[in-house]
Amino acid sequence: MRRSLIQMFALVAVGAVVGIGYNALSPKGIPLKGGTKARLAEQGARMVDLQEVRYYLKQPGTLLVDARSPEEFQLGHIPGAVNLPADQFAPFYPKVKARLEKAKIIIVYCSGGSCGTSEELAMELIKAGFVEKRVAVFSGGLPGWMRAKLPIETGMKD
Amino acid sequence: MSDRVVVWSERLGRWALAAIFLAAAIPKVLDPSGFAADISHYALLPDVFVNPLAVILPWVEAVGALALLSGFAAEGAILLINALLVVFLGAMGQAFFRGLDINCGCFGHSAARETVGMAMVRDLAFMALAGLVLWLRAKRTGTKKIRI
Repeated sequence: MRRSLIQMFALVAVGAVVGIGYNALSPKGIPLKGGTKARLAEQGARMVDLQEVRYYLKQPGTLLVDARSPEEFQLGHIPGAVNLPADQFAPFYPKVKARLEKAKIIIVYCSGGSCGTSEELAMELIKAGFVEKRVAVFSGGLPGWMRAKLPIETGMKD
Repeated sequence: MSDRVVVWSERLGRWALAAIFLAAAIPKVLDPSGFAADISHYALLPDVFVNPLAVILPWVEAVGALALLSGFAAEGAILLINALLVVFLGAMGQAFFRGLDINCGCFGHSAARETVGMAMVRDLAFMALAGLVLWLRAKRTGTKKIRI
């Protein structure tokens, strides 16, 4: 038992050291500290909270993008948002491309917390060349919007 | 079962597990950011732990796979692979029961999307193989306790 456990922990330690070393040297390395916020900043995006979302929505050229599935979008979304599911980027992108190109700031959201889908979509948008559009991720997502008792829209409009 | 059959079965099983874990580790090593996003989909860990795990876990898998392949520290590596499979099954199980529609991320962020249920079935098959290797290793070393 003891020998196998020692070997196992030694392998974990070697993996950890090599991983941290490789990450530090790799051009694709990610920040170890700071979680999603730091990872997004590294990619050229940032996180915004509800207050910032409400501020930007008053500014012309702000586009909200819902990264969830079309089914979830139809059940309820932030008014004015367009649907671009992160896992169906290629088929949905042409439908919203014109609006994305017109936007000055793109705010992406999903189901809130650490849903991850909005981050995935933000990265896809940056890859598609929208870096200069100031891509942002709304950390609270739809639940954060609803908690503030703000209105939601249903159905598919875009 | 003859000693020769036991030795070769254990060796082939170990190599198969090594190939699976190398195939899983390499895409994650090449795209840590995508893997971090996959980890956060599970909504299991505080955000602060996501990046370090995305950096370390693929290399732990790779080191475990290389140990299995070479036979160096093989008993520890078999134990490690079994432990990882149990952890992965637990993570996928909680996602499945919470109804999270997420990408498994098991073979990297860009791998074909599959349901968590399918990934759990595959994980169980890998666990069966890992368990078999553990048993064959015990037979090979001549003790059921495999020096555990």
